[in-house]
Amino acid sequence: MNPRPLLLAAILVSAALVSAAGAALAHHGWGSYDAGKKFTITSPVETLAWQNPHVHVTVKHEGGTWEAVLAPPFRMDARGLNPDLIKAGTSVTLEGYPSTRTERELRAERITVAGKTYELR
Amino acid sequence: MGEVYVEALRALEDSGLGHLARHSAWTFTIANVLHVIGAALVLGGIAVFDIQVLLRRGWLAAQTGRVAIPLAAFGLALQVLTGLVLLAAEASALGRNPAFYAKLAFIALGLLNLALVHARFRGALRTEVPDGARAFAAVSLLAWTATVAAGRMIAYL
Repeated sequence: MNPRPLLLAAILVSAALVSAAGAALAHHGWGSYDAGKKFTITSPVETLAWQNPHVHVTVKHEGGTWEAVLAPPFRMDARGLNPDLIKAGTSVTLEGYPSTRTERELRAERITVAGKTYELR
Repeated sequence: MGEVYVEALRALEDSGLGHLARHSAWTFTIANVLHVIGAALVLGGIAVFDIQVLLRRGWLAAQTGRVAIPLAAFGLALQVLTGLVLLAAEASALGRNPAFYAKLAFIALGLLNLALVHARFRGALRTEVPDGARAFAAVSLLAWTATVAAGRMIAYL
């Protein structure tokens, strides 16, 4: 057997993986959110979109409307959340990180509603 | 051109399929799971064939291809269908993701390479793949590996 083609194949596959890994390192594991700027919002839910790939709510913060990205519906469900629990008008506390790309968007690490905190990661 | 593309993405997102992908409990989840299985079939199927070609196993490559290529083709069809569902959920955002552009480019490279192989070698592919196909096998291996890698990167960019 000639080993050179195998070597070639290995190099090609490695090159693709290394380029992907390089791109991965250039960004946070949790997409484009600044983990160094954790902050908290307490506000009534303005709108709720219980949908894939992630549930979204909008809330008021410092005079503006913020869009919060929560977990996928199945995970929300698994952690004990449901659409009725965080429906519009419900007061919630969100702890999360601002988007580095979209203004007034945050990714929520946890949500507190009716005195109970749910982890979303 | 750019506007037509953005309009098409919006239309897909606003379509019944987009609505179904976002609001049905299982559609997105099932599409997501099948998209992983499809990626395994495409890359695994085509890689065993490409590697046989790279190793100059002409006859064995042709024999391998009889099983491996239909498997990869089935996987590719599965990817197009499930990928459309995943894209429809958030088409406006995903369609303009740099990793998605890269993925489309690698798919185009893979398909162009496939067309060139068939145009150049035709029937020979069924009996004994010629050594002249090795460069195409290398491009194929690179294109489909990079397609999967770029696809996974969409979630991180």
